[in-house]
Amino acid sequence: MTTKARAFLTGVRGAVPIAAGYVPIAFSFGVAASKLGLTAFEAFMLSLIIYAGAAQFLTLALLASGASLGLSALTLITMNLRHVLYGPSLLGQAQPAQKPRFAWAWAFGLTDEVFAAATADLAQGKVTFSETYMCGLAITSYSAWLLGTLVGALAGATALQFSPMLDAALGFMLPALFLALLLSILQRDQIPVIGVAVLMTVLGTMFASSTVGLLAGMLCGALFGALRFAQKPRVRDAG
Amino acid sequence: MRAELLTLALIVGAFTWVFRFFPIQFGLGRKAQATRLGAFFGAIAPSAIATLFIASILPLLGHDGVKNLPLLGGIAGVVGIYWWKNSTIYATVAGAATFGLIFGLIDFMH
Repeated sequence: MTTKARAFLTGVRGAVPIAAGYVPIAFSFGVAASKLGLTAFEAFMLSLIIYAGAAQFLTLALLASGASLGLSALTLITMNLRHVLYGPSLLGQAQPAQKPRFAWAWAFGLTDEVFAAATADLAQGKVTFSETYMCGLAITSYSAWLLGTLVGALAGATALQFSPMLDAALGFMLPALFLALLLSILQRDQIPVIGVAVLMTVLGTMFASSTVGLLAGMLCGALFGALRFAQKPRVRDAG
Repeated sequence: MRAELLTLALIVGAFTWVFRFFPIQFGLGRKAQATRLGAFFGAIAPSAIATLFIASILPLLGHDGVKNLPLLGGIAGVVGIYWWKNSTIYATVAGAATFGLIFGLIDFMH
């Protein structure tokens, strides 16, 4: 097996927990879209083109509320603004000689979960950054999302009514995945950064909106990390 | 497919792709290595994942203590199984299963 094939398969394996979370969540999205009167084709196309879970659920809420096209687009674009941060963070872990040639393709699949899983794999030393690995991770996750959407949309509006317990369990898949990924990259010196991120997410959500909470948590946590970096040499000098 | 829905999907999809691809294309992370900006990008991963976790559980929190039991059980399931098996797959599935089971039990008792 070639190095590239091995890297691709590592990406596919790394996407298994994402797929396990994506299929049921996308299934729920398909069901919710169906409840709103969208056809299976329309639900599938939303997943195919937008491919951002939270934004897609918000799309349904905006459609239900009768919001205008301009307002809906602006809200959804603002919500996805956080994705600007993911590429540079990942690229920072690549070898200096590596020049991304196919980022236009795999970056399309750089969702919250793919970014988190790639970061965890890289931090644990399971893989070295490569575009083939990213393609394996992104393609598998994207396929799982599309499959879940299609099955959910075809199953129809009443698909999850027979089991509230299953509905609840599926709804907790993504929070569980985020927590597991957080545990997998957790290091003692990151705890203050995580603390700031958590605090700002809660405050932003309470006093503004969930979108503000998301942006505030990520940006303030990262800014705090940068400030600590600036202070470290002074501490060493003092010692 | 309705034209308005397709237009919305295309606008949002295009912007999302731009947000994901352009910072890589311009090599922002690489240029910033070993600088304060590099530390900023390095701290994005833990703060982003923590933020996403908190943002995803906030809607599940309730004022009624009993209604928070599935959430507490789900978190305990993830932490316990991750500590035991060191696997994100098992921890994710165990957390979701625990959440669903406790939710079902409470639903059954009421």
